[in-house]
Amino acid sequence: MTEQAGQSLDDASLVATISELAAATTGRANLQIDRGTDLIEAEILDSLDWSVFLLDLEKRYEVTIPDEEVESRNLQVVGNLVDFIRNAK
Amino acid sequence: MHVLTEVLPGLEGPFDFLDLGFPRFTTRTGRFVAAGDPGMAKGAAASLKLRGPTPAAFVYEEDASEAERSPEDPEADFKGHEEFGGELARISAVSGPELFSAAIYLIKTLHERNVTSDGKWIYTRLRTPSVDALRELVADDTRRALEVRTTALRDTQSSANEVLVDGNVIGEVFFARISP
Repeated sequence: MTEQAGQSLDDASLVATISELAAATTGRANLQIDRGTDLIEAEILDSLDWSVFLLDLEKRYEVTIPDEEVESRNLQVVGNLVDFIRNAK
Repeated sequence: MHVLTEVLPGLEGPFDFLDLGFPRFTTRTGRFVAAGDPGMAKGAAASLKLRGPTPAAFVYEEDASEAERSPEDPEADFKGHEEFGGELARISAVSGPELFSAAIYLIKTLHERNVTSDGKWIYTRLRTPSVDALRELVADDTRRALEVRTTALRDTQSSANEVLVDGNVIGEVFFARISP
Protein backbone atom coordinates (compact mmCIF):
# COMPACT_ATOMS: atom_id res chain seq x y z
CA MET A 1 0.00 0.00 0.00
CA THR A 2 1.29 3.44 -0.90
CA GLU A 3 0.82 6.03 1.78
CA GLN A 4 1.90 9.64 2.05
CA ALA A 5 1.12 12.39 4.54
CA GLY A 6 -1.32 10.12 6.34
CA GLN A 7 -3.42 9.50 3.22
CA SER A 8 -3.78 5.96 1.95
CA LEU A 9 -3.28 5.86 -1.78
CA ASP A 10 -4.46 2.35 -2.56
CA ASP A 11 -7.37 1.94 -4.93
CA ALA A 12 -9.98 1.18 -2.28
CA SER A 13 -9.04 4.16 -0.10
CA LEU A 14 -8.96 6.57 -3.01
CA VAL A 15 -12.32 5.38 -4.36
CA ALA A 16 -13.77 5.63 -0.84
CA THR A 17 -12.52 9.19 -0.45
CA ILE A 18 -13.86 10.15 -3.87
CA SER A 19 -17.23 8.67 -2.88
CA GLU A 20 -17.15 10.54 0.43
CA LEU A 21 -16.36 13.88 -1.25
CA ALA A 22 -18.96 13.32 -3.98
CA ALA A 23 -21.54 12.52 -1.30
CA ALA A 24 -20.57 15.65 0.65
CA THR A 25 -20.84 17.74 -2.51
CA THR A 26 -24.24 16.43 -3.57
CA GLY A 27 -25.77 15.62 -0.21
CA ARG A 28 -26.66 12.18 -1.56
CA ALA A 29 -25.81 9.15 0.53
CA ASN A 30 -25.12 5.63 -0.74
CA LEU A 31 -23.59 6.63 -4.04
CA GLN A 32 -22.62 3.63 -6.15
CA ILE A 33 -19.11 4.55 -7.27
CA ASP A 34 -16.32 2.33 -8.53
CA ARG A 35 -13.31 2.75 -10.83
CA GLY A 36 -15.48 2.61 -13.91
CA THR A 37 -17.93 5.31 -12.83
CA ASP A 38 -18.04 8.47 -14.93
CA LEU A 39 -19.09 11.04 -12.34
CA ILE A 40 -20.63 13.38 -14.92
CA GLU A 41 -22.15 10.86 -17.34
CA ALA A 42 -23.68 8.95 -14.43
CA GLU A 43 -25.23 12.28 -13.31
CA ILE A 44 -23.65 11.99 -9.90
CA LEU A 45 -22.13 15.46 -10.24
CA ASP A 46 -23.28 18.40 -12.33
CA SER A 47 -20.87 21.06 -13.57
CA LEU A 48 -21.09 23.13 -10.39
CA ASP A 49 -20.70 20.05 -8.20
CA TRP A 50 -17.71 18.98 -10.30
CA SER A 51 -15.94 22.29 -9.73
CA VAL A 52 -16.52 22.12 -5.97
CA PHE A 53 -15.58 18.43 -5.87
CA LEU A 54 -12.21 19.09 -7.58
CA LEU A 55 -11.43 21.87 -5.11
CA ASP A 56 -12.22 19.52 -2.23
CA LEU A 57 -10.07 16.80 -3.78
CA GLU A 58 -7.11 19.15 -4.30
CA LYS A 59 -7.33 20.25 -0.67
CA ARG A 60 -7.66 16.70 0.64
CA TYR A 61 -4.67 15.32 -1.25
CA GLU A 62 -2.68 18.56 -1.63
CA VAL A 63 -2.41 18.06 -5.38
CA THR A 64 -3.11 20.30 -8.36
CA ILE A 65 -5.54 19.05 -10.98
CA PRO A 66 -5.21 21.32 -14.03
CA ASP A 67 -8.15 21.63 -16.40
CA GLU A 68 -6.00 20.36 -19.30
CA GLU A 69 -5.38 17.15 -17.37
CA VAL A 70 -9.06 16.82 -16.55
CA GLU A 71 -9.85 16.87 -20.25
CA SER A 72 -6.89 14.97 -21.70
CA ARG A 73 -6.98 12.19 -19.09
CA ASN A 74 -10.76 12.07 -18.81
CA LEU A 75 -10.57 12.51 -15.05
CA GLN A 76 -14.30 12.45 -14.59
CA VAL A 77 -13.88 8.66 -14.71
CA VAL A 78 -13.05 7.55 -11.16
CA GLY A 79 -10.30 5.10 -12.16
CA ASN A 80 -8.48 7.79 -14.15
CA LEU A 81 -8.82 10.19 -11.23
CA VAL A 82 -7.46 7.59 -8.80
CA ASP A 83 -4.42 6.99 -11.03
CA PHE A 84 -3.85 10.71 -11.49
CA ILE A 85 -3.87 11.44 -7.74
CA ARG A 86 -1.56 8.53 -6.98
CA ASN A 87 0.93 9.66 -9.62
CA ALA A 88 0.71 13.28 -8.53
CA LYS A 89 1.70 12.50 -4.95
CA MET B 1 -28.70 36.66 -0.03
CA HIS B 2 -32.30 37.00 1.11
CA VAL B 3 -32.60 33.26 1.58
CA LEU B 4 -30.32 33.42 4.62
CA THR B 5 -32.09 36.32 6.25
CA GLU B 6 -35.64 35.49 5.23
CA VAL B 7 -36.00 31.71 4.78
CA LEU B 8 -33.49 30.31 7.25
CA PRO B 9 -34.69 32.08 10.43
CA GLY B 10 -38.22 30.69 9.93
CA LEU B 11 -37.17 27.04 9.83
CA GLU B 12 -37.39 24.88 12.92
CA GLY B 13 -34.46 22.52 12.55
CA PRO B 14 -32.17 21.43 14.09
CA PHE B 15 -29.91 21.16 11.08
CA ASP B 16 -26.35 20.00 10.96
CA PHE B 17 -25.42 21.08 7.44
CA LEU B 18 -26.45 23.82 5.03
CA ASP B 19 -25.73 23.87 1.30
CA LEU B 20 -26.83 26.89 -0.71
CA GLY B 21 -25.98 26.67 -4.40
CA PHE B 22 -26.38 29.02 -7.34
CA PRO B 23 -25.63 26.82 -10.37
CA ARG B 24 -27.20 29.19 -12.86
CA PHE B 25 -27.29 32.97 -13.13
CA THR B 26 -30.72 34.56 -13.25
CA THR B 27 -31.99 38.11 -13.55
CA ARG B 28 -35.58 37.14 -12.83
CA THR B 29 -37.45 37.78 -9.61
CA GLY B 30 -38.78 34.82 -7.71
CA ARG B 31 -38.90 33.16 -4.33
CA PHE B 32 -37.61 30.11 -2.54
CA VAL B 33 -40.27 27.38 -2.32
CA ALA B 34 -40.13 24.04 -0.54
CA ALA B 35 -38.87 21.30 -2.84
CA GLY B 36 -40.95 18.24 -2.10
CA ASP B 37 -39.29 16.33 -4.91
CA PRO B 38 -35.46 16.31 -5.09
CA GLY B 39 -35.81 16.48 -8.89
CA MET B 40 -37.11 20.04 -8.56
CA ALA B 41 -33.55 21.23 -7.95
CA LYS B 42 -32.51 20.17 -11.44
CA GLY B 43 -32.24 23.23 -13.64
CA ALA B 44 -33.14 25.60 -10.81
CA ALA B 45 -31.15 28.82 -10.56
CA ALA B 46 -30.63 28.23 -6.85
CA SER B 47 -31.26 25.60 -4.23
CA LEU B 48 -31.02 25.39 -0.46
CA LYS B 49 -30.48 22.02 1.19
CA LEU B 50 -30.52 21.51 4.93
CA ARG B 51 -29.49 18.20 6.43
CA GLY B 52 -30.46 16.98 9.87
CA PRO B 53 -33.03 14.78 11.59
CA THR B 54 -35.72 16.50 9.51
CA PRO B 55 -34.05 17.57 6.26
CA ALA B 56 -35.43 20.48 4.29
CA ALA B 57 -34.92 21.60 0.71
CA PHE B 58 -35.91 24.70 -1.21
CA VAL B 59 -35.51 25.79 -4.81
CA TYR B 60 -35.65 29.23 -6.35
CA GLU B 61 -38.83 29.48 -8.37
CA GLU B 62 -38.43 32.25 -10.96
CA ASP B 63 -41.36 34.26 -12.20
CA ALA B 64 -41.67 36.11 -15.51
CA SER B 65 -40.49 39.49 -14.22
CA GLU B 66 -37.02 40.85 -14.68
CA ALA B 67 -35.57 42.04 -11.39
CA GLU B 68 -35.27 45.80 -11.21
CA ARG B 69 -31.74 47.02 -10.91
CA SER B 70 -31.22 49.15 -7.87
CA PRO B 71 -29.78 52.55 -8.73
CA GLU B 72 -27.62 52.23 -5.63
CA ASP B 73 -24.38 50.31 -5.65
CA PRO B 74 -25.01 47.31 -3.36
CA GLU B 75 -21.31 47.22 -2.51
CA ALA B 76 -21.11 50.90 -1.60
CA ASP B 77 -21.44 50.18 2.12
CA PHE B 78 -18.33 48.02 2.10
CA LYS B 79 -16.07 49.77 -0.38
CA GLY B 80 -13.08 51.40 1.21
CA HIS B 81 -13.52 49.58 4.53
CA GLU B 82 -11.65 46.45 3.49
CA GLU B 83 -8.07 45.49 4.34
CA PHE B 84 -6.01 42.94 2.45
CA GLY B 85 -3.12 40.73 3.49
CA GLY B 86 -1.96 37.89 1.25
CA GLU B 87 -4.81 35.43 0.84
CA LEU B 88 -6.88 37.28 3.45
CA ALA B 89 -9.32 40.15 3.30
CA ARG B 90 -11.21 41.65 6.19
CA ILE B 91 -13.69 44.29 7.25
CA SER B 92 -13.59 45.17 10.91
CA ALA B 93 -17.29 45.79 11.57
CA VAL B 94 -20.18 44.19 9.70
CA SER B 95 -23.71 43.55 10.98
CA GLY B 96 -25.34 40.13 10.69
CA PRO B 97 -27.84 40.89 7.92
CA GLU B 98 -25.08 42.26 5.66
CA LEU B 99 -22.57 39.56 6.58
CA PHE B 100 -22.71 37.49 3.44
CA SER B 101 -23.07 40.39 1.04
CA ALA B 102 -19.88 41.73 2.59
CA ALA B 103 -18.18 38.31 2.39
CA ILE B 104 -19.06 38.02 -1.30
CA TYR B 105 -17.70 41.51 -1.94
CA LEU B 106 -14.47 40.71 -0.07
CA ILE B 107 -13.86 37.44 -1.90
CA LYS B 108 -14.59 38.95 -5.30
CA THR B 109 -12.25 41.87 -4.61
CA LEU B 110 -9.57 39.56 -3.22
CA HIS B 111 -9.67 37.45 -6.39
CA GLU B 112 -9.56 40.52 -8.63
CA ARG B 113 -6.42 41.66 -6.78
CA ASN B 114 -4.66 38.32 -6.33
CA VAL B 115 -5.78 36.17 -9.26
CA THR B 116 -7.18 38.11 -12.18
CA SER B 117 -9.67 40.85 -12.89
CA ASP B 118 -10.39 39.46 -16.36
CA GLY B 119 -13.94 38.21 -16.61
CA LYS B 120 -16.30 38.13 -13.68
CA TRP B 121 -15.97 36.30 -10.38
CA ILE B 122 -19.32 34.96 -9.24
CA TYR B 123 -20.45 33.32 -6.05
CA THR B 124 -21.66 29.76 -6.62
CA ARG B 125 -22.06 28.01 -3.30
CA LEU B 126 -22.09 28.28 0.47
CA ARG B 127 -21.58 25.24 2.68
CA THR B 128 -21.52 25.11 6.43
CA PRO B 129 -22.03 22.67 9.28
CA SER B 130 -22.53 25.66 11.61
CA VAL B 131 -26.16 26.21 10.73
CA ASP B 132 -27.33 27.34 14.15
CA ALA B 133 -24.46 29.79 14.51
CA LEU B 134 -25.20 31.15 11.06
CA ARG B 135 -28.89 31.58 11.83
CA GLU B 136 -28.09 33.56 14.96
CA LEU B 137 -25.46 35.67 13.24
CA VAL B 138 -27.56 36.78 10.26
CA ALA B 139 -30.37 37.86 12.60
CA ASP B 140 -28.11 39.87 14.90
CA ASP B 141 -27.32 43.54 14.26
CA THR B 142 -24.15 43.44 16.33
CA ARG B 143 -21.21 44.53 14.22
CA ARG B 144 -18.49 41.91 14.05
CA ALA B 145 -15.12 41.40 12.39
CA LEU B 146 -15.45 39.60 9.07
CA GLU B 147 -12.55 37.86 7.38
CA VAL B 148 -12.32 35.74 4.25
CA ARG B 149 -9.45 33.43 3.35
CA THR B 150 -8.87 31.63 0.06
CA THR B 151 -8.10 27.99 0.80
CA ALA B 152 -8.00 26.53 -2.74
CA LEU B 153 -7.78 27.91 -6.25
CA ARG B 154 -8.07 25.96 -9.50
CA ASP B 155 -6.58 27.31 -12.70
CA THR B 156 -7.82 30.84 -11.99
CA GLN B 157 -11.29 29.44 -12.67
CA SER B 158 -12.73 28.46 -9.30
CA SER B 159 -11.94 28.84 -5.64
CA ALA B 160 -12.85 27.76 -2.13
CA ASN B 161 -12.84 30.36 0.62
CA GLU B 162 -13.39 30.25 4.36
CA VAL B 163 -15.55 32.91 5.98
CA LEU B 164 -14.63 33.83 9.54
CA VAL B 165 -16.62 35.95 11.96
CA ASP B 166 -14.72 37.19 15.01
CA GLY B 167 -12.05 34.63 14.13
CA ASN B 168 -14.40 31.63 13.94
CA VAL B 169 -15.02 29.80 10.66
CA ILE B 170 -18.73 29.93 9.90
CA GLY B 171 -18.77 28.58 6.38
CA GLU B 172 -17.06 27.87 3.11
CA VAL B 173 -17.90 29.90 0.01
CA PHE B 174 -17.11 28.81 -3.54
CA PHE B 175 -16.52 31.12 -6.49
CA ALA B 176 -16.17 30.59 -10.21
CA ARG B 177 -14.86 32.93 -12.90
CA ILE B 178 -16.76 33.59 -16.07
CA SER B 179 -14.23 34.32 -18.79
CA PRO B 180 -14.64 37.53 -20.79
